[in-house]
Amino acid sequence: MIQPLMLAISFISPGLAWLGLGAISVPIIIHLLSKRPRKPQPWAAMRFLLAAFKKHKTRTRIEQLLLLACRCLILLLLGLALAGPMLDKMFGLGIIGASSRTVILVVDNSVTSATKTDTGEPRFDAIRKAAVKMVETLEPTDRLAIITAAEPVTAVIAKPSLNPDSFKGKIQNITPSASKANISKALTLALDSIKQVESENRPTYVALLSDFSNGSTPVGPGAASLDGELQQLGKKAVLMMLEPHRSTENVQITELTADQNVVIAKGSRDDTTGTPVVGWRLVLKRFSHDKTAGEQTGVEVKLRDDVVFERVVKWQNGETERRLDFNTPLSETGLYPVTARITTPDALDIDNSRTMLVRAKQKLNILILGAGRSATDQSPETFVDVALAPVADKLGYPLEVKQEDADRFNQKMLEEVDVIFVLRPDRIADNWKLLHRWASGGGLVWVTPPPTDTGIAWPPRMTGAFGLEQKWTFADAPLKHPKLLKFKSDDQTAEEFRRETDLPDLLKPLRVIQHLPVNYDSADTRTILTGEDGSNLMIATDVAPHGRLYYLAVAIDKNWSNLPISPFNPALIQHVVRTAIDRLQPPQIFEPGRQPSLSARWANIKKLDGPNNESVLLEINRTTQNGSPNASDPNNDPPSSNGTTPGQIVVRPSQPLLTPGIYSGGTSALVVNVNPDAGNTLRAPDEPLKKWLGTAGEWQSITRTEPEAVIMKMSELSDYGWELLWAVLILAIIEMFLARYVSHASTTHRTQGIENMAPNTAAKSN
Amino acid sequence: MAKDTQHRTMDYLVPETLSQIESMELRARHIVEGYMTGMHRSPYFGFSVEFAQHRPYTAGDDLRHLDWKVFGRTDKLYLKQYQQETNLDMLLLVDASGSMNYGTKLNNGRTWRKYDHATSLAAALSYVALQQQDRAGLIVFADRMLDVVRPSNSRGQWRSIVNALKTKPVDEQTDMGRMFDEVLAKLHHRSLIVVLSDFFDEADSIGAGLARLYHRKHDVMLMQIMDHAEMTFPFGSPTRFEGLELEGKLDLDPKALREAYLEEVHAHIRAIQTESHRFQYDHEIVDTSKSIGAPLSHFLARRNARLKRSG
Repeated sequence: MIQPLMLAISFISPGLAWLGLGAISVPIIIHLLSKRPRKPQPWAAMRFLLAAFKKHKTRTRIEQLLLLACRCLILLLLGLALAGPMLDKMFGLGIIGASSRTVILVVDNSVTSATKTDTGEPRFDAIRKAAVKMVETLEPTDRLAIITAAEPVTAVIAKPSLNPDSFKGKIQNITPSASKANISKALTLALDSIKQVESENRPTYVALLSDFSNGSTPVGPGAASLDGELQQLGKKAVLMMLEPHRSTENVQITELTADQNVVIAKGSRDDTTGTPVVGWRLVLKRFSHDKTAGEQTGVEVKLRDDVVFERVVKWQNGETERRLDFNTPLSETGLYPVTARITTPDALDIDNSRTMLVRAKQKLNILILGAGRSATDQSPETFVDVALAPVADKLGYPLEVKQEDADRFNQKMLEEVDVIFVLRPDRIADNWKLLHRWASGGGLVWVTPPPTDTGIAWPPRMTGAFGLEQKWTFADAPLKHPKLLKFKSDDQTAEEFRRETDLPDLLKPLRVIQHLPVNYDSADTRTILTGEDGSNLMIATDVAPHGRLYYLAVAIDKNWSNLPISPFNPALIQHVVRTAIDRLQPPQIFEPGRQPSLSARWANIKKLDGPNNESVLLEINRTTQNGSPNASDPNNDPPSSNGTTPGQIVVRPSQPLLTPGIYSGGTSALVVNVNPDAGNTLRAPDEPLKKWLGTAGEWQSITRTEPEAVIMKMSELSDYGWELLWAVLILAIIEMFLARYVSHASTTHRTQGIENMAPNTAAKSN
Repeated sequence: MAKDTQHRTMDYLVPETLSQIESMELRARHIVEGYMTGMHRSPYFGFSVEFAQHRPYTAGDDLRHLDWKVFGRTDKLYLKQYQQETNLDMLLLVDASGSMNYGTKLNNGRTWRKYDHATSLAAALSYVALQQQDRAGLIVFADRMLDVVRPSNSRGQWRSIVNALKTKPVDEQTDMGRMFDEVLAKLHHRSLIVVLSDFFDEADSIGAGLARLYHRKHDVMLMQIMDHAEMTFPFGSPTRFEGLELEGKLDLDPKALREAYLEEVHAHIRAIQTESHRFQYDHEIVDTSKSIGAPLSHFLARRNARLKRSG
């Protein structure tokens, strides 16, 4: 019995317990020393002493031993109480005085939690086991909250709830995800959970169960620090972190990009066979401490279901990154999903593939909003039409141009349109917002002033719709100021244009007769063409998130400049159209775990078909005053990333997109790829990790084998100490009374009977 | 003035003062004179006894009681006789057993034993009695008679008693029963027997002895001489107690046993009291740390009462 009892008791300061044990020798020694007779005393009344001694010998001995025992026990218990005794629950004593606790489990199920360990089991198994073990430690009166740290960060149980054992099933249901971790957000949710039950004044524990890889806890230079509000966390709770997993090697695909995202038949650079070809760049990254030579990684690329590229990469000594270039032909129009995959097994599978989309279009659809039927042979509409498709047989031409009356411009006209030329902005009226919405989804809008003087009421409408009121300032009237037109020397487009135009020597100077000046004060706007006096003749700005707006200050009219009849005209227009389209319609790529805001182009699509036959409904919202579709949902992209303006339509999936792959809807598609950084399986360095987590407070390490040890230790820390101190106090009071009783201290009443028998003093006798 | 006198009188009778007087004679006289001054003058002292008659002087009689007026008239020597003169025989029994050798060190550095207290008291009592023309005798005893002075009121009687009181205590225990028997054998007249002892003997034995004395119509006064320490047991630290009458040694913590000891002592004293009261004998506790005046007063009161009864 003694051995189990000894195992059941432990102390925070064992030294004090030993001191208490040793201290009991003090009263024993004093007791023994007190028995030693000091001096002999001749005594006449020996008969009475002997009689008393015989009668009370046993009782006296018992009294003295009792007093001795009491004193020894006081010292022993005092030592034990100060030593911080902890009793194991298995003896039932843990229940006595065990206080109810609040435990918040923050479970990191991000990308690297799926990394296989040496035993073949994923790291998350150990994390889950630790969580379950901690829950099994808890009592029904304890409260438990569970938060998962992978995006979207979710409070599985937000408000700490009683009967923690009933939530084991929820923990079992947590699986590794393809998302990166957001530890800061998870700890913030933990803090919110604590605040919900703060009034109960329970001992509170926060356990961060993560593999603490570089992927889940990015602590390198430039990494975002924990939210400053988390400084409160360490004051409100005992913070515990699971011991980090050791580093594991991993190879991942970090990049798969096309040199063009939109390919037009017969428009690509390498057109010897007539089949469009897209150039690709694939980057492999190797996470390894060893970085030895000789290791090999196989990779293959599939275009739809066909393997278009295969390679075995032999890593060199110290090499961590390898770039591979290859081309893929696109034989038909349509949306092409391209997937790169590592074929060599490694520790983490989820980041071994990467998907991209490339669209092959037969033609680019151009819409000219102008005078419509009123256009003449010399009108801007005609000049632009001819400049865009300067061929007789337009059937096979990659640019499909359509003219419409700007007065009758509507939503229907926007279907399948890639570029809009607004040549009669004065006739757009209230449809500028429609134009803006369309452009923001990835369209190019080219605006020129109307050729005739019809007033300039249209610039405020345009700038208002595009959010440029404070940024672009138009002159009140066209300015008749002849000048030559020039490119800005630092403009990339101009440089490209110069390289691409044939026979630059043939270009005559472009003379501007009049223009509608514009000035701008915006970092997003660039000047593409200037007059020789430096005035802005062509400027361009982004229409967030995917569009572009060009403004040419000169109407395509002979009364404004010689541009319409210059060979520069088609070259300029076509070049801007071709290069802008590729930029304007990139594939939409998102990380797992997000509910991205999609453009209005998705407004007519009801659902997304995802990988593994997953189906996700799309919901349509209008933005609120601050531009956010739904301010309370933390998974929404912030307004700045989608450029939404109040009242604008925003389309979002009804739930986070969790699985990497392609999500398609109608003729559109988007891609979900694992964040490459999130797949860094190397262990986060200790010191930076400690410093990073230190914002929230002091963290205690818990082992994977005994994660509950800290809770057990801390929660039973002071209970028995106080109880023992109370016992010491009671014993001290008992000892005090016992000592007084046993000491038979001389009191008057005990001797009065005898003394009164003696004759009084002289006063009485006299 | 009266208070000062009283104070000085008390000083005479306390052990601190008495211990400084080595001579028993002087000590006794000191006691008596100290007692006589101030508040100790008592109508029962007995000096103012009534003159009864003359009787012719015979050799050996105390010249103090010669009636010189008669001698002047008749040239014949006659002694005054008083009423009590021939009625009181007093026998002092002084315990000289080992236990009586116990004493306490006084402030003056001298040790005042129970035996010193008993002998001082005995000397004073015999002095007073002889002054009253009583016949006084003394027996010093322990387990046997150590010294005997037959009752007499002759001139040399006082000296004889004083000399006998110089007997030193022995180690043996008291045997009161046997002593009373031996006393009975020696007494031919009814007497006042004053026993000065600590009575550390069996109460039954004492009671049996008293019964025999009572049967022979003797009057007894028991003066139980006890040291203050024996009455209070003031010891604190562990002590080895060694018996004075060969009882052996005992190591103990006095505090642990004090109450029980005092109960034993108290019980014994009560037993003695019970035995003495059975025969209407006086029993008095004499604390050796206190003044001798009180037991002296008690004795004198007792003596006068006896004289009245017999007269």
